Amino acid sequence: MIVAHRPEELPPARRAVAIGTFDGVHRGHLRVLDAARTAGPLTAGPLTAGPGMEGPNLEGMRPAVVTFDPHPRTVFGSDVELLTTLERRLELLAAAGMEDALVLRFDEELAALEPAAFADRVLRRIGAELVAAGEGFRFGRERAGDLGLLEQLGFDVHRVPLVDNVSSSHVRTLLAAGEVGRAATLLGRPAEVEGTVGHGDHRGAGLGFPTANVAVQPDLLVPALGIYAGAALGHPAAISIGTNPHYGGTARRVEAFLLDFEGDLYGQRLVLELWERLRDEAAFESEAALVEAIGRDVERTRAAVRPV
Amino acid sequence: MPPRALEPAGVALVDKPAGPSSFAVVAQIRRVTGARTGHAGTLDPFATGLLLLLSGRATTLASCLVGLDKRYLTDVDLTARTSTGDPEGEVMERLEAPDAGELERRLAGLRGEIELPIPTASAVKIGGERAYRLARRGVEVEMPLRRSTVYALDVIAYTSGVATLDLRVGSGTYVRAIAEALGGHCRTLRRTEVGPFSVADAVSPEAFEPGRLLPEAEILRRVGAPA
Repeated sequence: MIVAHRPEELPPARRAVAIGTFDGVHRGHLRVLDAARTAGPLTAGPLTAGPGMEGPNLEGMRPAVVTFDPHPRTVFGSDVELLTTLERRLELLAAAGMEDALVLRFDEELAALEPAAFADRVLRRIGAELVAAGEGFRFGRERAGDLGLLEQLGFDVHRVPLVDNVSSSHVRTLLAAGEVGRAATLLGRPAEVEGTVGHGDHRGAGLGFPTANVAVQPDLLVPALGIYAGAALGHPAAISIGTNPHYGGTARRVEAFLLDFEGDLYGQRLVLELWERLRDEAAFESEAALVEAIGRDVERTRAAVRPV
Repeated sequence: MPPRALEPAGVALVDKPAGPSSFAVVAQIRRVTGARTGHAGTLDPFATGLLLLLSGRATTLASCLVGLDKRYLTDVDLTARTSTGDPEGEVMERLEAPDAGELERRLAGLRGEIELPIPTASAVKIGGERAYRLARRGVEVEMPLRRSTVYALDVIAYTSGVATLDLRVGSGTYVRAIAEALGGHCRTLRRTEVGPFSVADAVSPEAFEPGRLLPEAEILRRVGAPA
């Protein structure tokens, strides 16, 4: 996938464009991306039958995505806990079959653009002939632009209805409550938390469970505190999201013990899949009791099943 | 395959038949021209009449054409209400048609600046959900009002409970809402004019050819916009 930050950076082509913020790249987003990837004839009905009505993509449109960073709502003054980093979002968009991505810097200037100017300077500029988006998609000054306007301007428009209950905010609510299984159903893949492995207290190694201490960027959502079964780098992983109350900690840490893994992860980016929430974190009577509890977590992690 | 062309540029006046969606007509015209094709306002599938389709470079004229006044001819069946205000919905209620005097009294309240509830069958959102979806689920919703201007509303004929009306309205007026306010539903709807353009000058989608496109300069002159 080619990643560009300005329209002119993309090579000229006719494109079928999916547009949206796509935080989390959940099942609803996938429908929009699929609409761009597999765009069919403009409309059904008696007038469209007959030769020459192959789907536009059979004419060779490149599936492309136009997305925004930072999250538009943060520019309008709301705090948004992100489900995905931009890097992860782009990986997922590529996996969904997008061949080009245009990441537009969302700022007050972009938000103030006249809708027709946005269509001209962004969509036309990258050769968009078909535009797919969720039916509620709005753009431009005072959010006055919608898919109807794009139709008037001569784009093929695919309006993708909301998938029942699947929204980034619903996923956020579920994750904040630790409901990683239900979140996975909405996402169409396991819930994740992502970060860079740094140095922790090196306490786990002494207990027999060396953990990777994952530093998470501050605008990313971290699910509810607790102990989770999951996976990372293809290994089962017992994951602790918490403050290490046994040691009287207060700062939130994300730590993962990768089963059957040997090696150095320091400085690496790590995407942790969270499959199942096992228990609340707790302070124990003794270190031996803590080690025993972790041992049980590890056994349950080995038995855990990847959702979806 | 080259990108969709900016030429031929111009505005096609097309007389949409009943049945296809406006977008099917857009696609049909585009097959003829090979140009990108937009429009200056759609018609429901059951409706017929004037569509302004914008070809090539003229798609940029959409913004100065969508707000034009419209003229419609409609048969309003005053013997039944339907769930959508048009013939595609289910009959909700059978009614006794009013006499001519009562019809005229009802019409009198619908001229000028009026506020009408948006039809339940429309795509407007109520509490985050499409009105037509709520309606389909049987949820009773209070539809928001929309301010409309009715410049003229004349009865052409009134027989067997069906009133043939000639309406001149501002952009954004739902004729279905007027039919509902009269106590009936639109049995047919035909758009006869959009601003200075008349369906009399339109061709069927099949008869369209690029030579029928009105040049952009003429469009701008006729709507009185600076070129």
